Amino acid sequence: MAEQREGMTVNRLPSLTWNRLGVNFAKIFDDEIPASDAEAAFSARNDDQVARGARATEEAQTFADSMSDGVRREAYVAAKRSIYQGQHFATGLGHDFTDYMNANVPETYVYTVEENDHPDKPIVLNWDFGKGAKALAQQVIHVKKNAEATFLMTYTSEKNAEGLGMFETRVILEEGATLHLMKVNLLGEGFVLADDSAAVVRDGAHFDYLSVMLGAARTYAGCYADQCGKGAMFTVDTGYMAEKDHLVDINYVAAQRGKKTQSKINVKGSLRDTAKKVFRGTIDFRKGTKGSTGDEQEDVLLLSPRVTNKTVPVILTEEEDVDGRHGATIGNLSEDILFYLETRGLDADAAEMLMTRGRLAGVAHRIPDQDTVDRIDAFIEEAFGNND
Amino acid sequence: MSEVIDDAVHFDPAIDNTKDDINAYLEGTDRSLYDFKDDETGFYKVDEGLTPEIVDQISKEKNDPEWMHEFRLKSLELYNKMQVPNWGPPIDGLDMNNIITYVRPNTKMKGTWDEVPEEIKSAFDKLGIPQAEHKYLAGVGAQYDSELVYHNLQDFVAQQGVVYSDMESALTGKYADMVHEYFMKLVPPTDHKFAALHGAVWSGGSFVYVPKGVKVDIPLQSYFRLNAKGAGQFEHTLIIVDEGADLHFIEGCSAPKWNVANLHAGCVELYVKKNARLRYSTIENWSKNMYNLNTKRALVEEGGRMEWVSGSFGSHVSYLYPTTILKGKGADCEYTGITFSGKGQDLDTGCRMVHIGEDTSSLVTTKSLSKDGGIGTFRSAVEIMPTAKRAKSSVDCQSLMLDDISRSDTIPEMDVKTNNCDVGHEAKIGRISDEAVFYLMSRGIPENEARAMIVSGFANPISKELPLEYAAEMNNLIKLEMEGSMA
Repeated sequence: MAEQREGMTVNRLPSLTWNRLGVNFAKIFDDEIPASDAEAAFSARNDDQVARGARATEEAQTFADSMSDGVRREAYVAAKRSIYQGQHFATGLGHDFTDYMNANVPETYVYTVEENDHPDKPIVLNWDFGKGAKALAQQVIHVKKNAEATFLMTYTSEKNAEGLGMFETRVILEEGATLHLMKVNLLGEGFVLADDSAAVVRDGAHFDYLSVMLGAARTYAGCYADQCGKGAMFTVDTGYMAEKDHLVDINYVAAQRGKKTQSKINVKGSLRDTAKKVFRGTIDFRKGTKGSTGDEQEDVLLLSPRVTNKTVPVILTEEEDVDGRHGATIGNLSEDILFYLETRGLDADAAEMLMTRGRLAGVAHRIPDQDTVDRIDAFIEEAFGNND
Repeated sequence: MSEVIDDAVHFDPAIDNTKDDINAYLEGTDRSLYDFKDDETGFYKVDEGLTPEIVDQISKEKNDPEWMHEFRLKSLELYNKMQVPNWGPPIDGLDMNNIITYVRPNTKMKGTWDEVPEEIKSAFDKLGIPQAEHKYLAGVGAQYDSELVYHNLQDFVAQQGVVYSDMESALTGKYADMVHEYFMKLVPPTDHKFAALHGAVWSGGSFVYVPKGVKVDIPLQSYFRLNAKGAGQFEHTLIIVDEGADLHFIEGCSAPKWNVANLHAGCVELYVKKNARLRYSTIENWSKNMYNLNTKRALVEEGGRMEWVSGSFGSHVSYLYPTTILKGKGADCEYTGITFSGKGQDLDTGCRMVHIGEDTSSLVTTKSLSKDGGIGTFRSAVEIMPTAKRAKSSVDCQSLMLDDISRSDTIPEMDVKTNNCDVGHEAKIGRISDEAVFYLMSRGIPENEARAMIVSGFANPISKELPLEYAAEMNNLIKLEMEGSMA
């Protein structure tokens, strides 16, 4: 872990705002991390559809860097302060996290989807933390020209287990390639999960990122897409549920650099008890990204009077010929909806669960693995106490 | 729109608020209106820089009561300990060692324009202040560099018990205790570095008190002119609108352009009591060598309503975020703003809404335009506290990029700490549609006029909230900026 007193800085907002709001970055402190010596059990399904193999992390890092755009990007926000973090291959959680992972993960798994290949089944990677364990893992997913693949990464454990999960996934999408990267957090209540993603998206490529965050006491999730290619696309679907005193801290960045790029970020979720969520979503239109569009939408359902929701939807623009927009809706269940559901025989708890499931269903049901979808449904039901 | 707002817009029935009138008004205006420099021979100035001795000197010159003298020195200590912001536009070009913090004109404050020295009166004549007072204002305060040179309140308003004076008179006069009670309580010197600076060297500004139930039908205006090269202006505005009272206050400002940095670090504190209403309108047109680090804040009690109308056109760098604390049950705020960032400008503007009381509501509508390499940033925060049950907030910001060498950013934040609320946010960034320009050109309108028309239409929701003369001034500024763009 990073220095004891300083903590590790993650999820840095590309363009800083008032410090007193507490959204410019998040910190992961040593004393928040449960101690665990046991290693999570890793398993994979359908991974024989693609080439894969472990490489020394330093070698994998060099490879990923060589496949990134390879330009030291020096753009500035309005304040002319550098908004980039000095990472050659920028990620959502940021360089502190990458440095830590590089120092602590000896081997990185590299998956390669060959040119024009379209594996018909999702490659499912599961880390089962059981009664409590830890896992630190890095992956590089290289999707070559005109190939398309789906990777589903799931993190599971028993309900009351505690432990640590740290993951970093770097994606290289060559011309015309598509990757559906899906990450599902079904961890127990004592976990700290830091889950980082990043992609280089070349001409006509599509990085489709989906995440479902239901478990863990503290979840830090970041995703950064470098849309350097013409027509590069980045889509995000995220559904989360946070309860008790849990934290969900998110940082998504769409760096739109190529011409006619598109980004679309959708984040939905619910908060109850004293849960806290921070969502930072940045659409960053760089100079030259003519004809590009960006859209981010957030919908937050607040179910308890003591929740905390922080939302920072940022648009940065240094190009005229773009169309960027964002919207956010934050509130509770309206009395009209509650009344309607009550007339249909649902009490308030059932209504809240129904609305939470409804928000997550649109995300979860895109996952092409019925077992995972069922587990998501069961997790929500159990959280709302309907586990009979 | 509420009836109250309509009343404010159409306060003078003698003026027909039509487009032709606005155009006619525009015919006679140009940029030289603001960019003229006057000789300051005989003016009193402190040395450049910021030291305890200079603060002592200012305090002595202004005959401060002892508490204010101590307040200044404590503020200076705070200033020296505090850091400049690590967010927002760079202010590296501002060196306090080169700023003259106090410049007193060679006159005392006068109650009639005839008594004001001719060279200073001439400046305000060019800006149209005496004419405006004659036509449609209930009172005027005119500040030149660090001190007010003119202050007047029309008799029929004074007879209602309305107090409108310079801050220095209020500090030692009949309302001294009230000033002591409220001064820099809403914006304490601990708030940020430039609030501390203001606390140390403030000078000039206005004090307004509107008694309970009094509705001031026509606006008061303070105009701030900073003429001195390399100087700072630190006026303090304190307005208390008592229960059930109603006021529209207009603030204007300008300066000639110098080749060195000037600084404006004013402070505005507004108290809107139970069921009172205050509209605070500003057309900011500082010269483009100005660092505008201004702080404005309002505290709104139960049933009170605060309305901000803000146009930011000038300055080299701006940090400007009027903050409204909706403390009382049912307190309400509407913020309407426009920012136009041109060549060499980095304007970081927006607002903060802090909901504390139940059933509070806020509505934010902003527009920003960037051109010729200008940088415009909309920055906001909506904070819904746990006590703000049934609070509602809506933020709508739209930005228009007028070329591909400029920059426009939106950095809003929503911090919600209760479930019983309704918070919405929408933002959009784009450019002038080619189709709209093409359509207008097909109707015989030249391209540059078509683009200017579209920009005026974009700004219209803001300008319609201003009194006619100010809407015209704003439209003129937009027109001038657009002409520069076309050239």
